[in-house]
Amino acid sequence: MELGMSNVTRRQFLQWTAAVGTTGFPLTGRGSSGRVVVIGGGVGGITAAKSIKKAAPSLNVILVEQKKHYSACFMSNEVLAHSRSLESLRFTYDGLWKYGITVVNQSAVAIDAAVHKVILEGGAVLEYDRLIVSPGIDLRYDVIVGYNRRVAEKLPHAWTSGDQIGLLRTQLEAMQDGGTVLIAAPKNPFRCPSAPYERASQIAWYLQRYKPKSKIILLDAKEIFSQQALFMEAWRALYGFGTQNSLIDWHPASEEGTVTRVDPDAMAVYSGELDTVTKGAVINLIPPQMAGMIARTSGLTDDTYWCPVNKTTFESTKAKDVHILGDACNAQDMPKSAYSAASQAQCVAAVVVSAMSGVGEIPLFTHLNACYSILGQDWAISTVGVYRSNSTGTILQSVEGSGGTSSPGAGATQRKHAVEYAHSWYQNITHALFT
Amino acid sequence: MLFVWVGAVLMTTGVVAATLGGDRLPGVCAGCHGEEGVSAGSATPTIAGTKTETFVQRMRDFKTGNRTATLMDRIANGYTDDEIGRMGEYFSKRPFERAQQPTDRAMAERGKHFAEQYCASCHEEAGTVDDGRPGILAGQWLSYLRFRLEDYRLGVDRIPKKMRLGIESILHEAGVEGLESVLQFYASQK
Ligand SMILES: Cc1cc2nc3c(=O)[nH]c(=O)nc-3n(C[C@H](O)[C@H](O)[C@H](O)COP(=O)(O)OP(=O)(O)OC[C@H]3O[C@@H](n4cnc5c(N)ncnc54)[C@H](O)[C@@H]3O)c2cc1C
Ligand code: HEC
Ligand code: HEC
Repeated sequence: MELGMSNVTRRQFLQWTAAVGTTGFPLTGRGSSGRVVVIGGGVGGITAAKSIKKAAPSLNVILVEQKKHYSACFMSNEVLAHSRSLESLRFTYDGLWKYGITVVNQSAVAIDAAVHKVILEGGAVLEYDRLIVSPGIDLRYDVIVGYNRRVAEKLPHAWTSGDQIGLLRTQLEAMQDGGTVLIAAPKNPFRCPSAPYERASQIAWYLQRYKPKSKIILLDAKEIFSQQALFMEAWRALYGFGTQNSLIDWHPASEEGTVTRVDPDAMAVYSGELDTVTKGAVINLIPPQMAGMIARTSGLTDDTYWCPVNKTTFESTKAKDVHILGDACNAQDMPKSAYSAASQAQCVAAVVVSAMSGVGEIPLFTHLNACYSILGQDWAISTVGVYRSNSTGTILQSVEGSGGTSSPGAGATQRKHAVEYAHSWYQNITHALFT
Repeated sequence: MLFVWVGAVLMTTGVVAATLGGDRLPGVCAGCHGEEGVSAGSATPTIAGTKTETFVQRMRDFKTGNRTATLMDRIANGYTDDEIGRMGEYFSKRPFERAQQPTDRAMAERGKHFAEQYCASCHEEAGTVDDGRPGILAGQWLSYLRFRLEDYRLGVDRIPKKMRLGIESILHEAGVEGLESVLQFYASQK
């Protein structure tokens, strides 16, 4: 069952197409040069568009993005500790035109893979030879009772946009010293598995300096989480974790951690089998997630709400010539991260260009993921992975003996260098995307 | 027969690489090391322009634990010797673009004198060339140069005896500031 919006049926789509015709948008024809349409101007979409244009300048590449600005989620937790401005997370699409990419500032509302067409909000129709879909995530409003889009304006998730990050920061600023900050983290899989814990750390850092009588309660729908030992090592050293005065209290699923309903008027959440109530002065509810709407309404998702893909080509197993990448797809061992999305985009670019130029088989791609988390003053940790798929595209897994996390007890010098390297990563990835 | 078959596979791979505008393998390093290995971030090193042998040696040292790493050891472990060789070829052909970064002019001037005396025999032409595997120092990010010297002083990495002696002499003559001045000199090369 799909959420919120009904499926656009094929018949509806055809009626629509007939109504608006194909005149809504100039077509240069498919011909030998061919056209690639990319839906979603985020990490995955931009990287794919740029990589394709670079490898095959003669291809016509159109990037469809619904927003005027991109607001980065990665590094956004630093805004909460006042070590980064909201502006530094905002980017425009102006830089993409010089690569010959056409940026269409509209929302894509339907895909008809059978006839290779995408329909835009304004009614225009885009034909494609290959379609790349990287719409990121949507939040699920059907899992936690009492939670919906409106409630999210009061209990921010701060998981998709700058506005929400700004809202959470404003609430933290307005909170009185002594208040409780409640963070609820979802089950796997979700966007950026370490980010809820990085967030708890950044908020703790803020509270320590400005509201030392306050504390954080972290309710978790999981039993264990990404880089747990490293997070806890830092929390012990920096925020009194494990003592009476800990700034952070963590409750796993077995200790009533799973949030099942909310009461926004009472600023309360209910969790666990015992329906334990917890109140917060600020509530950062990070709900379960799913692939972005366009993927769901176009029939690209399965019953997990994510998109099944061939693990070698990232082609949808449900629609030919449609490739899905980034957070929206099920990439098995690869976590949903910006680094993963960029790696997948480079792979898809190679697949698409070779297919469109008739080259056929190409070597298996070696993927890379790396995520930094900054946990406080001079303290950062990382997790990395190198991944390869099999030739049939059924498995995408970590290369044996590679990857892993920073080691506990890494030493102060290493942790400090990692903070500068993390910022340097942000400078490089945003430079690669937007300039 | 087998020989012919292998040859054919290699040929196809070559054609593919050419069609796609080059080997796709090193592209994923850009997130941290910048596009084409030129870092736009102010701490991760530019890895373009070093000789293939230098690159390969460094990746091997990461794998064996002979080189201090915050994470490159865990990345290097995922690549075969063949892949490392290919990436080395790729990056060696990309130009090292010197970082545009603020440096202290007066300090760099003082550092020049130390560099000529203690470092130039290996880091030739003001650190602009990679001859004899010392890497390129000129225009590398200052933070990275500092981190490397800290690493050396903490002692995990093998470094030439003469370099260690040079560092000690500078420390003896002018302290930590003296050493910083040498790095300012290399970093300020435009
Ligand atoms: C707090 C936090 C911290 C994080 N930290 C890190 C980190 O340190 N490192 C890391 O690697 N990752 C991090 N991430 C994860 C990272 O932000 C995502 O994994 C990454 O953005 C995924 O890229 P994407 O292309 O799938 O989606 P996005 O980057 O979200 O891009 C999707 C784009 O598609 C557009 N779109 C959607 N639907 C349509 C439509 N129908 N029509 C037109 N446009 C559409 C959206 O507007 C958006 O611009 C973090 C995430 C969070 C929330
Ligand atoms: C997450 C960021 C990150 C990624 C991804 C990454 N590197 Fe690195 N690299 C670093 C950092 C940081 C260092 C410094 C050593 C350390 O702390 O691990 C470094 C150092 C290096 C060095 C030594 C530089 C010198 O000349 O002194 C080489 C070579 C290198 N990396 C190659 C690569 C290659 C090849 C890839 C892609 C397969 C890659 N790196 C991916 C962060 C990264
Ligand atoms: C005897 C030759 C020699 C001398 C003299 C020497 N170096 Fe080096 N240096 C090397 C070599 C070789 C390496 C590469 C080591 C490696 O990567 O394993 C190196 C690496 C470095 C690096 C790290 C570069 C990188 O990309 O990782 C720095 C910084 C450096 N040297 C600074 C200096 C300074 C400053 C001096 C003078 C005080 C100096 N060196 C003198 C041979 C020398």
